[in-house]
Amino acid sequence: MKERADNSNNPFGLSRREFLKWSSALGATALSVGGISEVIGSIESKTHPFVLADRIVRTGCPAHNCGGRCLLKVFVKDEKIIRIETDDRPNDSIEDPQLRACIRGRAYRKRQYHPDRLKYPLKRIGKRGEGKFERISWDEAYDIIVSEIKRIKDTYGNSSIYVPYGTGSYNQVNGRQTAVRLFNLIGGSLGFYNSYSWAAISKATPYVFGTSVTGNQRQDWVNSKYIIMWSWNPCEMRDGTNSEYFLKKAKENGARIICIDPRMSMSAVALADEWIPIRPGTDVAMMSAMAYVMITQDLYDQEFVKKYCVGFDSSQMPEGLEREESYKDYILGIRDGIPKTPQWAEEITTVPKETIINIAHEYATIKPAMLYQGYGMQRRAYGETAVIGGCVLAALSGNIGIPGGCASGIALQADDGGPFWNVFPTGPNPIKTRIPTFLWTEAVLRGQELSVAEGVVGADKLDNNVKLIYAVATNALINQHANVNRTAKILEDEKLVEFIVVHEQFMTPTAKFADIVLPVCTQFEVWGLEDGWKYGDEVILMPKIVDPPFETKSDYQICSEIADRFGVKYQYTEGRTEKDWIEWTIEEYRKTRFPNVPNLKEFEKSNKGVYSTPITEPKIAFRDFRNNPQKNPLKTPSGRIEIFSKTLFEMQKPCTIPPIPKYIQEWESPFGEEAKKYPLQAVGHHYMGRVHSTHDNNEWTDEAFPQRVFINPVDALERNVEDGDEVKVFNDRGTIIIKCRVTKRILPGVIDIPQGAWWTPDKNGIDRRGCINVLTSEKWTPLAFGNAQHTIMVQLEKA
Amino acid sequence: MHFAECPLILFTIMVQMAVGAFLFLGVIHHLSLVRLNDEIFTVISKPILNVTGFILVLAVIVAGFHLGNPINAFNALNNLGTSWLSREILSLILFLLSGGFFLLIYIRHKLNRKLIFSLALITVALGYIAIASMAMVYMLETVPVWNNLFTPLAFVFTSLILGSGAILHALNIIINKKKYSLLLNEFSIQKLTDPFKIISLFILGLLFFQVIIMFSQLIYLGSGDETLRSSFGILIEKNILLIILRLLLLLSAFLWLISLLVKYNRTRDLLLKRKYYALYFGILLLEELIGRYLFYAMYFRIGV
Amino acid sequence: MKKQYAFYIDTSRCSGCKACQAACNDKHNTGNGILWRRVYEVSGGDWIRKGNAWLPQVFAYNISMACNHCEDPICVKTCPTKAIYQRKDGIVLIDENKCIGCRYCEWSCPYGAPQYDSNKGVMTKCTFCYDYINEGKNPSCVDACPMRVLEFGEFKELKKKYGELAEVYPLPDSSITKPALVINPHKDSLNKPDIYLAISNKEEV
Ligand code: SF4
Ligand code: SF4
Ligand code: SF4
Repeated sequence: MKERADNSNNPFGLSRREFLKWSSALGATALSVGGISEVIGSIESKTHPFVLADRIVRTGCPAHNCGGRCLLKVFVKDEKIIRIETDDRPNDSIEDPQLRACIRGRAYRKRQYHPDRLKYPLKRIGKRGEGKFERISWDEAYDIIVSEIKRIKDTYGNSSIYVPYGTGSYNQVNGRQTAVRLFNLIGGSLGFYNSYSWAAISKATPYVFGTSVTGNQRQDWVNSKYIIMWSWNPCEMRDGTNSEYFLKKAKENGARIICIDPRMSMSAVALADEWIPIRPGTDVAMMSAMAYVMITQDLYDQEFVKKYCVGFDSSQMPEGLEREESYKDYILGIRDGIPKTPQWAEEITTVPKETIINIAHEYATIKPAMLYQGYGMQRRAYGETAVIGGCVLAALSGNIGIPGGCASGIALQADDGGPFWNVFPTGPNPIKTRIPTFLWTEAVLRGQELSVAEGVVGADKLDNNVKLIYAVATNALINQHANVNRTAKILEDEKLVEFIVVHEQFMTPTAKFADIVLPVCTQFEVWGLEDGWKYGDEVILMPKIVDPPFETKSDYQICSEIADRFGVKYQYTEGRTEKDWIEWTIEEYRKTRFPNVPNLKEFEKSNKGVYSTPITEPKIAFRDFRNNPQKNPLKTPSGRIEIFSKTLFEMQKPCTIPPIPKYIQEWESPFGEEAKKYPLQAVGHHYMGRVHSTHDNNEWTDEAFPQRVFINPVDALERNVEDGDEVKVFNDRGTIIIKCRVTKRILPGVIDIPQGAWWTPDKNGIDRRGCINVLTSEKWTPLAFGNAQHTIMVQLEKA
Repeated sequence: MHFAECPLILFTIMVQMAVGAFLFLGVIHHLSLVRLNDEIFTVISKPILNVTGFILVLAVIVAGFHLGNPINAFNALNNLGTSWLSREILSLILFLLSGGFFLLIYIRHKLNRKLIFSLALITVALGYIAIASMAMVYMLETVPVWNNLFTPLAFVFTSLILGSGAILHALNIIINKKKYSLLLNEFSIQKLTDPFKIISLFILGLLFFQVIIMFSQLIYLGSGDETLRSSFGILIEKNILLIILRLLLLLSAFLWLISLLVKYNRTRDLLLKRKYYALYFGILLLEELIGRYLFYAMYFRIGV
Repeated sequence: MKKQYAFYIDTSRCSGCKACQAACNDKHNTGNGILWRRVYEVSGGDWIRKGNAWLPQVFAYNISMACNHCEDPICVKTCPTKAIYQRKDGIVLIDENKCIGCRYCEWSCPYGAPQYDSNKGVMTKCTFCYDYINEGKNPSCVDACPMRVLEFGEFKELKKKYGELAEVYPLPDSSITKPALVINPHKDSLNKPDIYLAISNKEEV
């Protein structure tokens, strides 16, 4: 398909043949009201003239870390992107749906051509964090970087170098992996595991199931008759392009959908029959009460539990632990004397007991049913237990291993091993030590004390504090990490981290703390390739569309030039350009997931942008296990679904890591002392206008979704706050002043400050943009060492 | 209210006042009780007519500020078929033309009185047609709060109250200006002050009705359907102070006038006291400005 | 037979994600206060305290609204310059070269469609993407919707397919302008006489 506008009658750069093809494919909606020339002559074209694109390129929406991966159709004129549309493949079906972009993709021009794009390498001239920089040349920047890396390597060793968590780029040749590869060639760097997204859920799920592949392929969702979206807001976070569409299809197929969330989210409005607001951090209480109803009313799938699970009741306890508390014991309150009744849960969760009973009934009796967990509820104090609690409910209801069901947990798709996100090879890291990523500030402050007890793997303890941070495609150094004011203090101290490099496109809060800032091109300005995030049944080619402006370069190019100065250029590039690496990447996908993916040349020539495999027979997780648990045991110690986990039991931390999912009061909670001073819980949901902190400066998304704090009228009234007022939100860690939106769509006692706004302190240190991490805590979850950023208490008053 | 509507407040008030002033000038002249002779009348009319004309021109200029794209202003007459805005502008133009023509003839003042009289009548009629179409502009089906009798009532009352007030104020100024009073003998001044009483009584009635209208409009809005109640809400929640102020102003104008009337019965040279009328007119002007501001502020369209 | 194009919006499944709004911004270089397609959030209801529990009786839905290219467009009637005109195929357009920027159409249109461009001093408005229609394509916003709740087509056909409803709260009585619009109502917009509903995102539209 050649798409060049070669005559003026053909304003959209479609060849006549293609035009006919695409328009007839639109079938019933193919309408025509006269020749194009007739319209061109008319008044309307004078006020809104046609855009004559020089070329149209299909590409992937720049891969940040939203849950989606969508197709964009980019119109280019005079080497400038003038319009961005989305997937226009003619057959939009459930098997192979169009990958329609959300507002962030559609508004990308405002980011691409933002006047604040970084243009030149910068060197810090003020105090660290002050944000004062001067322009320097690339050579000077490289000289400084190379000499600092050498100095710190020699003084402290490679394990003091850290390439932090960063999710700004997933297109292979932009992103942190390029820097990891660089350091791996020159002695390595301190590694990490976990993410800020789903530390607890990815850690906890395998304790129950021995795997993270606990979800059926999404095409199967339409077979479900009852869907609980538990803390799950796929419409807004786009937990997979089209997840919301599959749910809509399920709805059309007769499914009843329930949304359990402190916020009446977009997904609740668009998809749910019933919204059940729940007090944040009390999910396990509600789950336990549901289990109570299912058990006491004999609604649970006894046969399933007997055949496939361990630890449900005393008859099923692992060997040697027969006398320990089973799940049923806990629910009925045999040991602790507290039956986990709906009444008990009502007091904790604010969910009326009738509602709990009703949901338990429905979930246990409407078949098949799908309990799907989002990630908000596990970014909390004891996030792991909430995850396991959901998995146990799925087991009690027997909805595992069947079409229309779901085992809950992280629910990666039953599939052939993908997705991979980045396959760009980083090579082996000579430093084997890794830390939980959320604990990086600990590694800065007291690295040498950090040991296995605090999640260090690959070594007993660290041998160094972090001294050099090389940050690529990340804003987690300040903005997205918890407790901004604390982190800022740490980073300001040049004796702690001695040197910070940041690759960026904008002067983000993170970039402000750099010693050297290197300007990076966007993903429209370099070759790339992405696959479909969590669910991805496709790969999307991202051709270079326009040239990098000013002195910007790709992360890959920057790292290869530094590699050159270390004498490892060839090892780094293996003689490949960015485009060559994309060719290499495609071959990787061919070897694994997509044996029939076209090679780069064909792929590029077709200008289709996406290669996808229609799913006609969605895979069902645990089908084999269900068919024959003896032959296909799970990879858990018992080979079965572990309602009681022996492994967890052996950790001997029953108060924080119980072997069965128990409700534990969080360390900052409305029931604690802290609530006297700070009576409101604050959550920070993923905002439609941003991908984490990316796009916070996009004027179109900001207009559509302005930053503000959401508060219920009940709480607002108490504080004499009205819709649109400036309010002050604070706790011991910091203060924000922004506007508020008084909305009934949030539970009283809870406020919501959408996460990702750029920390903008005024001269008193008060954040004026609404970065929730000013208020969050650096305390980590017990099992996964993950972030518990949503577990915070705050106060709000009129500013 | 939108900032862009500020010019409209001034524009509508100025036009309505000018029409009213023209009317009352005629009334003074022709009220059988106080019929003035032509000479005296000419002396006082000329400056008044000039000022009126000036105000009208100003109004048109102010109206231009309301337009985002005044270069195209001539297009505004394109849609006489269905747009009341076009019609308003046309009737305004006709009023201006007729007024201008009147002025031209009047200054030459040789032509016969009948012609002048009928021209004046036509001008007044056109003026009120303009005010009527002005009202029609606001009587939109989609804006129920304007789409009722209160809109034309408001406009006509503005024109009568401010028109008459302006004339009293003007007479007062003229009588006090040496340049004019030299031209007027004692008797004419006496004669000139006579209409004062009649006009004042009339105004008293108007002010009284204005208060009644204000209340009935509030009641109408408050007891109406949802959109009307929204407007009511805007008035009560955001503008209650202005409403009270407006009432107070009306009341003080009323009392002021009564006290003037009482005094006038004793000392008949009251018209010579300048500040009395400046204050009185000022109060009314402010009251009407507030009224018009509220008129725009309570705008609430059905739909989204 | 006169043609009339129309939008179908399934408000029952609209999430309020505003992909449609951004698509329109991008195609027409609008935004920054000029929103040819806007998404209204309507919400209301109450919270009932029951001991320690909260019983929500909260209602919310979204209405994505552009210009409805009404069959009896009040904007065309009120515009003094004839800058707004209705084409033979029912598409209502603004000729910005004629517009004087009096904003009278803005006052009158009950759908908030005419949007003032303060830089140019003229009114602007959804063009139904007539250029795309000419090519046999859908308007940009329609093909943007990730929930697939927007549709475009001939009014008659859409009515046949989805019924005749063209008003849900707070849209006006459709007899006023006869909007070329077919709506599938959200459950929360149906028969809730006691619930105080209102547009709750005024600062965004
Ligand atoms: S794109 Fe679709 S779902 Fe999103 S706001 Fe627009 S109409 Fe609603
Ligand atoms: S929606 Fe408004 S602007 Fe569009 S045609 Fe109808 S009245 Fe006119
Ligand atoms: S039809 Fe076109 S102009 Fe109208 S709202 Fe949709 S994208 Fe915008």
